Amino acid sequence: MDEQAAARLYRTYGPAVYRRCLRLLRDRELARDATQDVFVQLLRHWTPSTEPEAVLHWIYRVATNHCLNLLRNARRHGEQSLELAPARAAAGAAAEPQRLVAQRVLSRFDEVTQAVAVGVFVDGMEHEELARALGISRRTVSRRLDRFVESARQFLARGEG
Amino acid sequence: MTACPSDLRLEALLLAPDGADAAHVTACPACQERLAEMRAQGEAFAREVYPATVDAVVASVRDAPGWDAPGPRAAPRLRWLRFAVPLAAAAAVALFLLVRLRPAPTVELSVFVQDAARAAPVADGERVPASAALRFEVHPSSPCCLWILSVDPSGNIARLYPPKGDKASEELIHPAEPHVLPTTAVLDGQAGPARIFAVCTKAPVPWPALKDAAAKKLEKGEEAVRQLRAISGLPRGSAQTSVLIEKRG
Repeated sequence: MDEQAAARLYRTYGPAVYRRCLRLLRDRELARDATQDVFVQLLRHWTPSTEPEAVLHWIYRVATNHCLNLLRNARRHGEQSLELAPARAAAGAAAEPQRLVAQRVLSRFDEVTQAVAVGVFVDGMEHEELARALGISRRTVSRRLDRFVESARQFLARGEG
Repeated sequence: MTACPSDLRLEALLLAPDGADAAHVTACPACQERLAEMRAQGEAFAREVYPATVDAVVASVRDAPGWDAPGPRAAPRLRWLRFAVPLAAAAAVALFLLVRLRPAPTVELSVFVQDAARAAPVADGERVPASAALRFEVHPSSPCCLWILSVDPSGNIARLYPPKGDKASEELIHPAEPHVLPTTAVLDGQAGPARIFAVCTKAPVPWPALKDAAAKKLEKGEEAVRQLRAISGLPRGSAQTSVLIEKRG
């Protein structure tokens, strides 16, 4: 692959990476930096035979993990600017305090469980589609989701946060 | 009407407009609205993000192994048959060894100097500005808990990742993929060598314990840092690697 081909790939798939990062980070500058980081990884793993669907799954998985890492890291450092919010919230959905609680609950789980919870509750994906995108089994999606819901219920019942 | 497709499926539709969900989207105002929003974001990428980042994206992989590889090779025809029997035998031996001997875990570390425009990879022993901002990418062979630390000629051991807290980072997942760490470490401005270690352990190791292990056989001096290859006293099953940088004033 030459530099022109790399730039061409970036033009083709960069928007998908950017949209994913923007959706999770809700900040254009952070999304721009995250897009660059994720795409560098994509180019390093690129093989010409990769099907577009597989590329999109890869982007979904790696960009989601990368952005959740950024969110988690920001929260650890006490930065309040990064909040996870559903992009397609209907009118009257998730008010600000509820979002913060959701973010606190989410931050208590490992990366896979976070990605599963985000895929189901933020992206509204079916289990099977999410399993394919994350490269895990459908059973793992269900198990992680059950664990997430149960732990979140206990967490909220204890009034932590 | 079927359920609205996810953003991931809409992404596929943006790449191939006559894809499987085209009929649904044509008849669904909500999906059309979302698709228009995604197109607008794609235009924002083309207008603002792509011009600002394309050089850095291309440059950061220019020096990667295999980057200069020529175009796709011609597909081998039947020549492979000559190698089929020895390959099968080798595969059997490899399978046997794989089953009998579980390989020791490994971790790869890439260091990048970050400036306003790009993150440039740093080769082992390369000179970098003494106050450079560094970023890191790790690639463990199996899930592990990670510390990144640096050692200098005065015997100072500094933690670089995770930047806070006593525990190592939580388990990294998807070990088949490198992880760009969400942190930037700014060097101390002192000229001289520094060795940066990535340490992967099966269970979290508290920072004081790791620092003690690193300090145990540490010798002071510039040459000692250059020659240092490993931290001793790590728990069994740990992996480590290091990159030497030469800070210039």
